Amino acid sequence: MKIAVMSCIHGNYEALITILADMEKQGAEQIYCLGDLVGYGPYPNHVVEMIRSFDIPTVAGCWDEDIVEGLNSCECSYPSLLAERRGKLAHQWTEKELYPETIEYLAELPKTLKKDNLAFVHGSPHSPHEYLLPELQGFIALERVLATGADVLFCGHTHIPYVRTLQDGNLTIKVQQPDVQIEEKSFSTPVKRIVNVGSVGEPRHGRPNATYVIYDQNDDRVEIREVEYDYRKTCAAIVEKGLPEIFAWRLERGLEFAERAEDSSHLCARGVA
Amino acid sequence: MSSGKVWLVAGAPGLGKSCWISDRLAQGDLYWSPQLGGVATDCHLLQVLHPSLSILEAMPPSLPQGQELFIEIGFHLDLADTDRLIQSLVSAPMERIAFVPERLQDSVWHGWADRVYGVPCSYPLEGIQLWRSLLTGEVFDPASLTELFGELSDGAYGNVYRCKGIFDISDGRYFYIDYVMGNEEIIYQELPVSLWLSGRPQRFAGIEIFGSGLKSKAIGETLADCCLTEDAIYFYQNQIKQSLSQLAV
Repeated sequence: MKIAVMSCIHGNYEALITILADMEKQGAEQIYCLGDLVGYGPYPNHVVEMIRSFDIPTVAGCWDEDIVEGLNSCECSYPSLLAERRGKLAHQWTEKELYPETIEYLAELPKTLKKDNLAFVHGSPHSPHEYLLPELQGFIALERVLATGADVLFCGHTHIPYVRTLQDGNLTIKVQQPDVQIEEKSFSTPVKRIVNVGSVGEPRHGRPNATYVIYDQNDDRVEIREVEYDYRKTCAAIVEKGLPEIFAWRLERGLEFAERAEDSSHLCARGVA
Repeated sequence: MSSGKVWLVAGAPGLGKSCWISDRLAQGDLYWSPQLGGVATDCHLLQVLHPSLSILEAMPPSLPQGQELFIEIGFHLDLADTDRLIQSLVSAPMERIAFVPERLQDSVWHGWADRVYGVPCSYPLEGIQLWRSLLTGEVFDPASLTELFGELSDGAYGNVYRCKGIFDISDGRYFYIDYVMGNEEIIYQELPVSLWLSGRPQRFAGIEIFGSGLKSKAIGETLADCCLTEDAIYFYQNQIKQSLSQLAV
């Protein structure tokens, strides 16, 4: 079975309809979405309507959560004061734009989804705000996958797609208790994988193209798809709808920067609610 | 009676006028840059790097023997008129230096200068706008400044050929930042002055941008978004002061 997995659409309707068409062309039989349906882009309601109309299983992204619960930035959120001010502006704009039923839908989204040996989260199983960067320390990366009980963990949030294979390895732990001899335990784990599906509507890989992933359950093959779409339409709508022009400029260049996705050692201090 | 010497340094923006002057300054030298207005980045940079330099607000009528006066003539000034004015104000031997794009074989600078330095220059000289802003008292978030300079150099606010400025940042340090189109790197230079940790800084800060089609309003708004609030300034300053006092123990 071919599964298409996408994330981080960010109100970019033009990109969404293009990749949905591409998924069909690729023969995807099931689609999963890893959240961040809204924020920065000009068509948050349209995007949510489309996801709902296709009945696509979706987890909550950090933006979806913030829209429902109110903006509650943690240290993961912004790399600079400028980014924070722009993020808040986008949040306020999106909040005003959203229909009540859109917010209700976002409020119902789960943090994690599972299918067979696959798990789907936005940022990490720990928090939708936490980044699983490709350079994340191997032990922590493995811990995050093991926490889901899955073999393949699909995530987004960094806006740059990657596939990371965590080779089967041995973990040895030592337990020391008062008056008890040190106890040593060993575990062996089979191969695990982290698949970051990139971003549909707000890429940061240096090009405006949308990315998503096709996963073939039959042969365990992952294909990262990069799809061109008419990003100029989205850029024009950003300006037309009163969002800051700089959002359009950054989208044109695939330079999404508004959130902190550079420090691989940073772990989110707030857990999953 | 013999006297000191006047160096007149002119040319296109970003080609090395101030740098050339800085390399030659000696104890007791004088510097003047006509019509600076309120934003005089080069002047303040030279003063910080050469504390013994005397920055003149007006031309002296004469120069004592052995003293050198460096006059930097901005790109936005009429060269012939400025030269004539300077000659009428001071009586001393003069040498004229020009920094011009190496692609130019003939220009107003070629006809004027005693020495012409051809420098690689990837931007046009026609229709250059100058946008500048005094930023004294503002304290900047360094990560935001980096973002802003990235956006300026990548064309988010029009065609920026040169952008330079001096900024106070949140940890009390004082930075000179310099971008020239065609140069690979943006220069971030920490200036050798003491940390400012007592409220809004009372020392020069400002930015100058040369380019075309500049989106002045957007530049101003983004600059404002890079500035710390009053509360944040005091918060960071107190943190730094605490860290410094702990280190001192």
